[in-house]
Amino acid sequence: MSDLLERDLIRTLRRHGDVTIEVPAGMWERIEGRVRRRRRTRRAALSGGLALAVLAVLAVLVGGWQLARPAARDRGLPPATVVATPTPARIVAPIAPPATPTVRSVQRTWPAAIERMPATAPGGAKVLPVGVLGADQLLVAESGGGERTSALLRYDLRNETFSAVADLAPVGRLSGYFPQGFATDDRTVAWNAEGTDARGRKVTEFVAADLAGGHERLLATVPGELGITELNLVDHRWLVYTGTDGVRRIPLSGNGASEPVPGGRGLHLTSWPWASNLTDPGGSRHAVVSTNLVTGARRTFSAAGMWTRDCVPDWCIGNLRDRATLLGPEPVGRTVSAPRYLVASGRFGGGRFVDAMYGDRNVLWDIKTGRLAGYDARSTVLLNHETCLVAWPDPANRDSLLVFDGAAVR
Amino acid sequence: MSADRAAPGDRGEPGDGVPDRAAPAGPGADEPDDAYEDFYRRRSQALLRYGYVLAGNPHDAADLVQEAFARLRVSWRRVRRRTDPEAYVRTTMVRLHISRWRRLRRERVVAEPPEPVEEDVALRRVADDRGLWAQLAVLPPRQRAVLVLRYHDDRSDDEIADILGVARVTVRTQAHRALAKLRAAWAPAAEPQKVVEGR
Repeated sequence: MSDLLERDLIRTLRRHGDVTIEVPAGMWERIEGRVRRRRRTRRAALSGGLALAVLAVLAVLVGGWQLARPAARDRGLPPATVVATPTPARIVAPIAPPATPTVRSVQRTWPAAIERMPATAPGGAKVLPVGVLGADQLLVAESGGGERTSALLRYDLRNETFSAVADLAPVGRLSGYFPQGFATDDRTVAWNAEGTDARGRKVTEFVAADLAGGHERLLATVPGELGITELNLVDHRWLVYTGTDGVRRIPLSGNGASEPVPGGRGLHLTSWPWASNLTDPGGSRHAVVSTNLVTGARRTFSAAGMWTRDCVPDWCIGNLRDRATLLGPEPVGRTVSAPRYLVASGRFGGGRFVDAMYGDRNVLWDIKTGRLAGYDARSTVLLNHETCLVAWPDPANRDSLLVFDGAAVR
Repeated sequence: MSADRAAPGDRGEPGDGVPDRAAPAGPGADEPDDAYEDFYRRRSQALLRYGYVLAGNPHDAADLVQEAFARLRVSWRRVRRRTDPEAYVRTTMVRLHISRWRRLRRERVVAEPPEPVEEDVALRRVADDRGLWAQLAVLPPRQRAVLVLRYHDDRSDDEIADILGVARVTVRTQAHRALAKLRAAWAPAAEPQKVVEGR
């Protein structure tokens, strides 16, 4: 028996399912293109298989044994040698892509920013990069089956070794535990995870662990679910996040209290110390006001007809008259528009890259140089205002991932 | 029954289930034939609409359709022999939609320019849904997929469990959670409207 909500839902889904959506021009060719690309990849993988097998044997003989060594808990390791990811440099004068761009892959465009890592941890579980811990280290999550993650590991790109950081298990008594987002600094990793408590209520658990090893510690449990949300670690003292009523913070000392950040009520954390009134993940057609929650400084981004998706301190990205556009703050309100072929998805990565579509290709627009670089459709993309991380299966070796770190682009 | 789903008589050759005895064995056995292109021509728009309901925006819908058709192409003859290609494409689209590898990207991709939406009469016609469509957009992909399969496709929980590769209890749990989220933000009409489409 269906209730009113279910009836409304049926009506809504069917009405939208009846909407006429024209088949995009060239879709057939794009499907053919995907098939061709995959065949080329398969052929390349097959032809390189023998050479790779020889190389793999040599690598193991020379010193690759560490890849197979079981991960050890970090408690016995020396203090953290993690280097904090530097704050992205501000882009003063962004450059639009050329009218007729040459789009090559990120590997060919920025080869120095590509790293290779195993696709599985020593125990055999799949891993996904979820953060950058410095030039030589990645934070990776180990798959616990399905979409769940079961552990956080640190992968050292130079030594090619994994080490355990934390278990992603509930600290409190929660069922249906699902970690969502992660934040790191040079000492700590923190995350939010959703679950159901003993009374059947949905709650979000905030947990932190030392990168140098140690027990996971529960920072706070708050009612409701937040999903994937921006988390920032501040001054080795606070975990800052966007709550249901605005920007909130939790002390890393672990006293369990979540409190509103002064001046952050009703705002959405973008990247500490900045928060904005752009709270709808789909964007807004209204003026965006970014507020520095430390100094109280405000920047207003406003242009008639602009649909704003995301803002970093100096620029907002959105669509203006059907063109992906960067908009600067008032009073100048400078705009830099991309050619029409580029559809911006609306997310900054590391303050320098904009995720976009060029035809059917996923591309990154480097607003510092105006270059476009494509990445594989199967990639995992981690974009926030500190990080631009793209990882995809290595076509030459299915046991490896290739990882692009935007911070390594010079 | 959803209008998008092909009527039994409408499935034609791709879904007739007759083994393709002419299909050669070995390499190239899955090369498509004219029926593949015919299937694409007849069903791509309906599948695009299905992708729109599933993903919530036409760009992700097109991405889902393209990827599903690309996979269908390399498996065309095998799929034709064993199952209905449309069911294969729909199931592929659902699974792609909830895939974590894609999800991490898609959650950051909002490629729908807003301006054309305002001009689209068809989309404006469906705007009167008391915010449900917008609320669906913030559901996790798996929960949304469960609702689409249950309320748009009229699938049973057992069928949904098969499609998603999860237990039936998981389907019920996901549906319960999704409905609870929608209910929290849903404003019912002052007077219940007459419902034409029943479940």
